[in-house]
Amino acid sequence: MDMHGKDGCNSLKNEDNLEYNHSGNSSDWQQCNPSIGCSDSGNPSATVSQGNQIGSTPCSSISMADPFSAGLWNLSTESTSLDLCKDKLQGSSNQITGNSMPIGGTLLQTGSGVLHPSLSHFPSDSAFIERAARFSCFDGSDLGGLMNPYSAAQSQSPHSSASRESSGAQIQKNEINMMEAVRGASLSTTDHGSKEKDNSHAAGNSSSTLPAAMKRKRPSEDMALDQAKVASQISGEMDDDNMELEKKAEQNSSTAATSTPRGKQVKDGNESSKEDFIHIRARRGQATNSHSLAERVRREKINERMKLLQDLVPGCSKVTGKALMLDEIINYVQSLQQQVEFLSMKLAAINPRLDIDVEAVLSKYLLQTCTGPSAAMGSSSGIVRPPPLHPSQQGLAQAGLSGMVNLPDLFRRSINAQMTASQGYKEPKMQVYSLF
Amino acid sequence: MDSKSSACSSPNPNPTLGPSKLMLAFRFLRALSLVRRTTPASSRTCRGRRIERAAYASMAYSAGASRAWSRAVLRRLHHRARRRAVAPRRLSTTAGNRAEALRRLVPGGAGMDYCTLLEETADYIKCLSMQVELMQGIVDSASSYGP
Repeated sequence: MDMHGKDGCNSLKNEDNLEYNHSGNSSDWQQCNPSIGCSDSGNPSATVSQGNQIGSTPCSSISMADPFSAGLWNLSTESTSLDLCKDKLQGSSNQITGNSMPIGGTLLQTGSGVLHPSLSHFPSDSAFIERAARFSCFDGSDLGGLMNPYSAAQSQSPHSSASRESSGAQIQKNEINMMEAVRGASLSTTDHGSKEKDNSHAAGNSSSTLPAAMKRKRPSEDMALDQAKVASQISGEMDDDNMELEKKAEQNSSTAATSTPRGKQVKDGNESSKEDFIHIRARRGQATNSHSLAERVRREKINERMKLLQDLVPGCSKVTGKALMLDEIINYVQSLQQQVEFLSMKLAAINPRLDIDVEAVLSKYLLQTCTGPSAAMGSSSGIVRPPPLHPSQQGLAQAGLSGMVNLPDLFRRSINAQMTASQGYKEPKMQVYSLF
Repeated sequence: MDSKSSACSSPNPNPTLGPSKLMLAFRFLRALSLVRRTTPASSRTCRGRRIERAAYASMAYSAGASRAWSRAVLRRLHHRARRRAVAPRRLSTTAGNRAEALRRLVPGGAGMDYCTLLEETADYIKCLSMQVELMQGIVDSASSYGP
């Protein structure tokens, strides 16, 4: 029978207290079972005999039912573990009339432990009280697990029933099974005052499932002590909270799982569509304000520029962070300006030599691999690969040549002497540089 | 100075590619020769300053008028040529914000937004490095050539 959630079973599996009850009551259970022709009885008895080793749901129900059955059946043979409950049970059981006892017993015998709480509480509040007291002994976590199968039956109000309906099918099944068992049990039972009450309850239960359970609980609560009521309420609330939390967690996890890939896709799509700076889509989770969009565009622009600068400035790749990079850039610009000043001083200091190896300087300079454009470098090594801009540059050089005047003859002679190895496109330029 | 400005009038043919090394070399060498010719040999510091200005001018002309910094350089040079004043350009980063220091360093950076400032800085660095290389080459060849 899968009436209970696994939680209840697991929480109680390790309860040593219940083992006593199992061993103690197995015989009782088995004795009473044949008298009742309930199909459900078979399972719990088997599980009872096996003790806590079974991880299935009946185990929990039985384990939970056992103390009460023990209390109800054999007050004398109560387990020592149920001290608190025992006292209460004894106290309560003394008040219980003989009617309730057998009824509780028969009802218990019908057998699923699931039935037990639902059956036990309404014939007498003793079992209910005991259970409540027992559950109050456990910590909160166990309570939540424990009360899962029971809380449904024990809850009193429609709102709790509604919450239970929304919580899970298991609980509903439990309740339905409980109702059916109760019905079966009540039908099997006969004439008693409390029995009649039970029958009425059962009848009420038979008519409807969950609400009947709730309705049934009300009179039972009237009978029950405040502690039991409080315990049930707490359990009910806890159950509600647990189920709601679980549901929410499931929803959140599912939504998160589905949203993250979606979010990434959306992000990729948005980023790819953001190339045109006019059409900008807000990325997921970002403000769509026009100001923030423009801000974001501006920031990205700045980041692009910073990357460019990082490539330009040597030794800037190791530096991370805008401030440090800016410092590096400023230092580099300052150093370059200082170098220009220093070199100009040096040039001024150099004696005005007439035979400066302009060609060598130019070839070395133009071939130098630096941050200059590839076109300039291509023009110097025009033999290897004809640069596309070479003709234009050559034309420009020739145009500049036409404007030249007062070229010192000395320089021209020296440069012309070195022009033997120069290529054709360099000749006009050589004439230009014969200024020296 | 004036002759220099009048001589160099050809625009940069490749503004998109950035400053042309060849044109820079051409302009600077021409300006250098002009300076050597015009200034007396005695005033070395004066000649040095002129050479420096020539370097900046050739840089600005080769970069073209499309760049804000080149326009600011030429503007400054023309004004200075008239007023004959050389403003100190040594700046310190510690003085205030880094962006402000950068603005002071890059010519024409005061009137720009930060984004444009970074762009202009990149181009300015390119041109400056090319100029430095050229001048270094000239100095090396000149120093190695002579005895």
